[in-house]
Amino acid sequence: MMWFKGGFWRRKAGQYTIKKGDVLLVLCVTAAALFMFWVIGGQPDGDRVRITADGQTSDYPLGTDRVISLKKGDKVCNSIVIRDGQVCMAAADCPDQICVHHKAIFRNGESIICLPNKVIVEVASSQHKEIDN
Amino acid sequence: MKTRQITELGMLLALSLVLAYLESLLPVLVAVPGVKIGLANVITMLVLYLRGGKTAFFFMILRVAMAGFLFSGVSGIVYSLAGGVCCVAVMCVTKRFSFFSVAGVSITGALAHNLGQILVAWFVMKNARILYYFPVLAISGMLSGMAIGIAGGLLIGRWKKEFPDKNR
Repeated sequence: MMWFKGGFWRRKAGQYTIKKGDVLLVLCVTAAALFMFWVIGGQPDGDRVRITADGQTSDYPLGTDRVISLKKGDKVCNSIVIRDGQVCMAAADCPDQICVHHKAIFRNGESIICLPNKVIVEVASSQHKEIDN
Repeated sequence: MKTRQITELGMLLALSLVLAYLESLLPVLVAVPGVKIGLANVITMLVLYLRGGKTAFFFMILRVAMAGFLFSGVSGIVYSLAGGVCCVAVMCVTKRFSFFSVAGVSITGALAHNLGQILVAWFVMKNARILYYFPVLAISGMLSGMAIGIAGGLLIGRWKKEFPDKNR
C-alpha cells in the first residue's frame, strides 16, 4: 500500500493532514520573525564595540583597527578583530566554532556570541539608549 | 509498566540516540547557536502520540541526557534539557486542540524548544543581546518543526498500523 494514500496529502479529516491551525501558526511565526528582523535591521550603524567576558565589560571604538585577545589563564581563548568599521571573531578554542563562522558585524544591536566561553561581542551606539538588564 | 511498553520504549530510545548521532555528524549550517534539524524529535513525537505526555516527558529527558553525554558535550545538556522540557510541555497542551495536525504540534514544540534554550542562554550569559537571535531561531525552528512533524505524522500512522497495541 502506498504510504501517500494514508498519509499527509489527503484532505480528509484526521490527525495527519494540514489543518487550519498549522497554516495560521506558520503565518504568525513568519510575520513575527520578519517584524523582529525589520526592527533589528533598521538600527543605525554603531560606533562602539562592547566585549563582555567572565562578567567584565570593556568598550572599544569601532573606528579604530584593533585586535583583542581574551585569555583563559595562559591560553588565548577568543581573538576579536576590529577592522574597517566591522568586528568579527577571528579565532576561538570552542568546539562548535559558530562564533568564528559568524559574519562580521557593524550595526547597532548586532552581536557575536561564543556560548561555551561565555563571550559576547556587541556593537553599541553611544547615542542609542540600550535595553539593559 | 507492561513488558511490551518497556521493550518498545527501550527500542525507541536507542533509535533516537542513533538519530542524534547522525545529526551530530552534520556540519553547522548557520552562525547561530541552536539551529538544527532535531532529527531525534521524530521519535519523541511518536512516543507522545503512542504513549501520552507523561511518558514522552521522561523519554525526552532520558534522550537529551544520554545524547548529550554521548555526542554533544556535557556543558550543552542544560540548554537541551530546558528546551526539551518546554517542548514536551507545550506539545502536550497543543496536542489537545484538534485544529493542529501533528506538524502543527511539532512546530509549536520546536519553537518552545528554541525558546527554552535561549532563555537559559540569557540566564547564563546575563546579557539580553542573546535574545536578538530568536527571530532566526523562530524561522529555523518553524521549518524544522514542519519537516519533523510531517515525517513524524507518517511514522505514527504507519507504526500504529504495524504494531497495534490495545493498551495504548
